[in-house]
Amino acid sequence: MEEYLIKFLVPALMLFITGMLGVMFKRNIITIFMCVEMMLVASMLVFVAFASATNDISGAVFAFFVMAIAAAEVAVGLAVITKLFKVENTVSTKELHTLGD
Amino acid sequence: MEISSNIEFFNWASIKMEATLAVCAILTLLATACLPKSFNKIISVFAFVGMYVALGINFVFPIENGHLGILPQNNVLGCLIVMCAILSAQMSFYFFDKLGRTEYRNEFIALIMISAASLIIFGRSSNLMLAFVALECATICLYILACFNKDSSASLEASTKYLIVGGVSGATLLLGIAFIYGASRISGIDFLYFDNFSEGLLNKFFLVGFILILAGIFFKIAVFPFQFWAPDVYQGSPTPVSAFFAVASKIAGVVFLARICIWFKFDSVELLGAKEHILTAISAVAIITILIGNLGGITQQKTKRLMAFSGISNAGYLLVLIASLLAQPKILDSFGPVMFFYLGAYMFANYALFFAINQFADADDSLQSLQDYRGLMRKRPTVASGMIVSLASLAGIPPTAGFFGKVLILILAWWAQLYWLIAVMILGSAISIYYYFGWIRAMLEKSEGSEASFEPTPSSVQTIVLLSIAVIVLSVVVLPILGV
Repeated sequence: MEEYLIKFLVPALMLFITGMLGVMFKRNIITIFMCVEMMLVASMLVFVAFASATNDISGAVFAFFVMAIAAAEVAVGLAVITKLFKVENTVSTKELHTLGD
Repeated sequence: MEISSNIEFFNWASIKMEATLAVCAILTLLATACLPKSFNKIISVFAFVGMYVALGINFVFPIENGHLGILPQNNVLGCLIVMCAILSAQMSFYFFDKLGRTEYRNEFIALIMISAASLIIFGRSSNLMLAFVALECATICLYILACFNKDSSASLEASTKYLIVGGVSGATLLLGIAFIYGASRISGIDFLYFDNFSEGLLNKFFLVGFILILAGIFFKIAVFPFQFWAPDVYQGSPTPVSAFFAVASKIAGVVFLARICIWFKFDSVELLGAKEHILTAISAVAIITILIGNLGGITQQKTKRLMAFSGISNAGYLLVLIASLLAQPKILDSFGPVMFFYLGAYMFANYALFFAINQFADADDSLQSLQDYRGLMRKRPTVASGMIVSLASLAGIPPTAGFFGKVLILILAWWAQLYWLIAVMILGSAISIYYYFGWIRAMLEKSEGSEASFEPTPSSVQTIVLLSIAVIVLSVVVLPILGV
């Protein structure tokens, strides 16, 4: 049981941490956004791992809910980033500093 | 089969308020899309009627029983959030006038209504799955709302920043829920209900999950170490949306945080160790949040960033309240009323100030500074006095509601014997007087303000005055009910 879980949890957590590091250190907003989605996918993987370890379907069903939400988030997010590119002509966080003191 | 029978017996009366809001919002969107432009005014009126009906339904038929993961008796939460939605929608009239795009107003109001409905469900849910779905639904609406001024780079930048931060916090919250699911080992229809967690509490996954959920909520209510996004996002977003961020999403997040701290029954003997750790963590976070929020506010000249730091420190005071609940479960009876009283006082004062911020001619207000308010007392005495009352309430000067709210929190913290937190909270309030009074001093100065023109519309002057009267009257009306 524990060994079975670890086979799933370790890759899932690695995926989550990779996404977190990407959000912190990448400069391109599209890449950052992909890293955010990767974190969501990693959480889904944890859900599915627990569902399969306990032989319970509800966790896997919830993964579908999360997929639908992630799709909506991507649709809105890409629209915002596209508009940002049209107005500012850049998607690099280095060159965005309208806001601040 | 089990699930279908549950849907059949679903008690729709338990979500009548949220359902009214959501249905009216969808009808508003459809009508805006289908009817000609000359109907725009009538559709806005319809949306407002919908919001007032949702508010009234709550008083006329109080929610008695919850169902399927929705808790009963959260009328106050619903009222506060619907009031936020109404005030933000009202503020948006002048915002779209100065933007010159009145045709977008109905979509804006519909989105505000949908996100208000989801935030109420989020605050009322007793099921983590429902909470996650409702929270993300509200957050996605807020991404769109934040970039409504879509030719301004400040608004787009704020929206992008909120998009990244919201996505990260959603993923963190989801990972926490996944670990709690793994720890609880409960399947079927009972899955992820708060009630059923006692069995999984000893599992090592539980504490990891709980800490991740805390981190996700801390992002949402902007407390240390996840407060860095708030000033930028509040500054760039359209002012009605900044107000909604500052008040509605903070109210829902704090209520949800309090709820999970109550439901996870940390008093059971086995969990005393975990409770100590979580109490220490929340106290430390509260102390740092209060200090960061207030020290950051001191040097701030831009009004909307100042409001963000004020929001951060207020979230810190609310964390003190939650820490005292964890330390002393006996205060549970007075905990709810005190929390809602504080949130109500915070809402009235914040909206009065955001209404005033919204009245400057610049469309996104992102560069507005305290200097623009110089001489306001002489030019517009009514607005200036309303703002002074609200600022005094935020600073905690008697006899305003903000003062009584802070005193009530301090009393509960005293009962819980959290003396360090009391000391830091009083110190933080003392620091905050400096920057709130800086704003008042600017208004009282004799010299003229800079060239940004301040043109309050009559309706907004009335609203500011009404809100600042509410700040004073709230304590007179509500405190006797609380039995203080």
